[in-house]
Amino acid sequence: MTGTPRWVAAVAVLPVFLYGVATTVLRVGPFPPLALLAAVVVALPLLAVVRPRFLLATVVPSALIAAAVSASAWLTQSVPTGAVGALGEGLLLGLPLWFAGVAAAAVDRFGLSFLVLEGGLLGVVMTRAAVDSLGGPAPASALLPAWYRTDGAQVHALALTLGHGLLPNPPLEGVLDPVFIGLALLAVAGLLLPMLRSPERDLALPRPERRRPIVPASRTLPPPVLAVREGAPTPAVASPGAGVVPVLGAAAGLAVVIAVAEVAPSFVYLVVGVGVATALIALGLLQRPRGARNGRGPIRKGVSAGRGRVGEAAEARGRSGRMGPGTPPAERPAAGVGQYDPTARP
Amino acid sequence: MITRRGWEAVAGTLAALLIALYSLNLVLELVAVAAFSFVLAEMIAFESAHRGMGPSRFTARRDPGPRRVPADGEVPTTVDIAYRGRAPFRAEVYDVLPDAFDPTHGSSRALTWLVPGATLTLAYSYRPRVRGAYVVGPTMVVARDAFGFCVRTTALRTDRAVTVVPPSIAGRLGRLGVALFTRFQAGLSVRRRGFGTEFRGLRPYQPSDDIRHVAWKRSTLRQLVVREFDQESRQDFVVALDLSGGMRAGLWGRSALDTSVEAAALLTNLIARGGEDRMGFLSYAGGVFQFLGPGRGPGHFRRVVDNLALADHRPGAFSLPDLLLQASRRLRGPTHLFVFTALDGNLAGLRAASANLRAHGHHPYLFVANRGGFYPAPEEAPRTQAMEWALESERGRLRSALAVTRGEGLPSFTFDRRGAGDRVLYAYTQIRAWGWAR
Repeated sequence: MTGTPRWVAAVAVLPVFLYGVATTVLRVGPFPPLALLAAVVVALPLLAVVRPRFLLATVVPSALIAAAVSASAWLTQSVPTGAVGALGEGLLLGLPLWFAGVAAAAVDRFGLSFLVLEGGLLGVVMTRAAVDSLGGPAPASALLPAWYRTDGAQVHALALTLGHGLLPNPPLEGVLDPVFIGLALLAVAGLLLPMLRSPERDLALPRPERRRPIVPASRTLPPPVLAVREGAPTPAVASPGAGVVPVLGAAAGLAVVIAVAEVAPSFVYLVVGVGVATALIALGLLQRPRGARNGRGPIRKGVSAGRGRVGEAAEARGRSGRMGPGTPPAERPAAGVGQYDPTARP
Repeated sequence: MITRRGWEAVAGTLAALLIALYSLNLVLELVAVAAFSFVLAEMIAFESAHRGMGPSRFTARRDPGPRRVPADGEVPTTVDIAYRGRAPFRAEVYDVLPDAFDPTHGSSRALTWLVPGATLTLAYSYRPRVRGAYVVGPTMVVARDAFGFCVRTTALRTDRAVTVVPPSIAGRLGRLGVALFTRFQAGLSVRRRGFGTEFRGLRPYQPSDDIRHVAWKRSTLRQLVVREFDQESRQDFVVALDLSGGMRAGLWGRSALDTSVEAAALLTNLIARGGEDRMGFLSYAGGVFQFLGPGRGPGHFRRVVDNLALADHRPGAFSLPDLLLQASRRLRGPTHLFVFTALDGNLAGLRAASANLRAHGHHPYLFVANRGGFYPAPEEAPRTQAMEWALESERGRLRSALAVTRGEGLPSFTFDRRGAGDRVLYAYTQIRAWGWAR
């Protein structure tokens, strides 16, 4: 299927995360060697951009570091300090690059890639808010407590918003750096827009299905060719790509949200929720067979529109191959022109 | 229908919306909304454009090729598909082929951009490897959106039944022995001495002559005279197939039954080519399953070949004595009975059954599957010796069974996965020349 080249995704996604790392390094530090080492280990998924099959292997070390820091915090019920604290600082420092690597390496799976991108942007925003909360230049050891404080404040603000309808100043709301916005849009565009191009694989033959292994031919002489007819396959035509429909859809969604945010900010989430539900319901309705909605027939499970039982049964029968000796006479081939005749002379 | 990739995109963008909700950050919200709208707009646009997609939007026509194809033959086929819909789409079109059919030239699949009014042609050749009845088709048209989020599948009824008959080896054997030709075909004007029923003349008795052929009324005490006969010009042959589980030995398409059918088809072709002899068919598993009396003519030979093509295993045990008894009840004139079997089951009563069959003037011949020879040696055979152990057991069984049948005077020939054609050819040549085979 159509996919975004990994190098395009990496070039588009990396700047926003490098920006996140740069803002942290410039305002917090210096980091201890262990933290820098942990950051390098956490950023290992960047290598998977070159070799995606190593993605899982490069993710495992960072997962171990995250598990160690979380376990320490949970067991001591406090912000980790010392070596574990240094590991936590390295984790926060390298995490944006982790997201960049995974998002670019998994670009063939758009859903996962975009989810990782959004999670990475959240991480950048969270770290940026934590750094902002420190006021000015601060030692590296202050980063982890500030991050935990920011996270707690965000959860508290969210709880107030959902529970009481209040909208206090959540710490992440204020991170609206123009450079960050521009780079974030570049990252999203880098994931989405290359998908619109004409797929290169269209002109290649599709991959053949797996077939049951069979004994080698018993013949050593060239077999006869029957019923020769002049015919050539239609040459493949590349598809023109997706068109502007998804772009217009994205633009319309953005326009609605921005307009509502300008006019009535408190209704943004309601509008987004209603829009999401409407779109999903519309998609679900379009999935139903046309006759079923008009009451002309029941919905048959497993039978999609335009593909009846005949096709499925025939396809299954075709795969199974032989109909066997019990073939009823009606299905037996009838005599006719061009048939194999055992009495024919060579 | 939404594909796995489509569900993943919906789930991913929905989860991104939840992340944005957690952050309460406008930038993250806009990013998530943009992606969600992008994905849903594409999916809704595709689904609404191709909602009514079905066979009615296409006109499909398959090239009416042959319905009967010899195994290992090559059949070119074309399928023309005209699209009558309104919205163009990215189409994957493929013909459903049975596993026993190998595409040889061209491809049964195509990936292209299909616009309204366009006609797509699939042109390819396939080679059936295993005899039987098959269906080629239907032709499947799969419409996909550009991202692979959604798919619509339509089956076009281009099904065509194809009977794969055993290969016609007789057509490429080169020059046949004179014994396999009729006198007319061979250009022979002289009649040939043989063991038929047609009287040829008298001659003095020789010690090697059968005493039953002595013409007593023409003989004197000093000079015995024997009757001489022409070669039987019209002989009856019946092929009997053992359909029991014992004939399953071997790989798919090359089992003991498949090999037997191939040899039986060779015999059918030889007889059809000669034009004089008659051919019949009998299959047995727990009793006689099919019986087709000896006959000749293109229609009859086609019936025999069709039944051979569709012969398949059946539940039920094989019993050689019972088969011989059943055959003797059904066969009318003197007949050469070619029995293809694995010789499973009890052989008690074989002497009586065989004598009964011969008393009616029939001649049975056994072609026994050496099941050990139907499997290639596994790669680790020298190390494990397991195959050798299994083969030894089978060899012992086969030896004892052959000792019994040969002890009863039944000509018995063994065959393996290399085929029984040479045995059948030898037996048929001997019968045509001398009236029997040993």
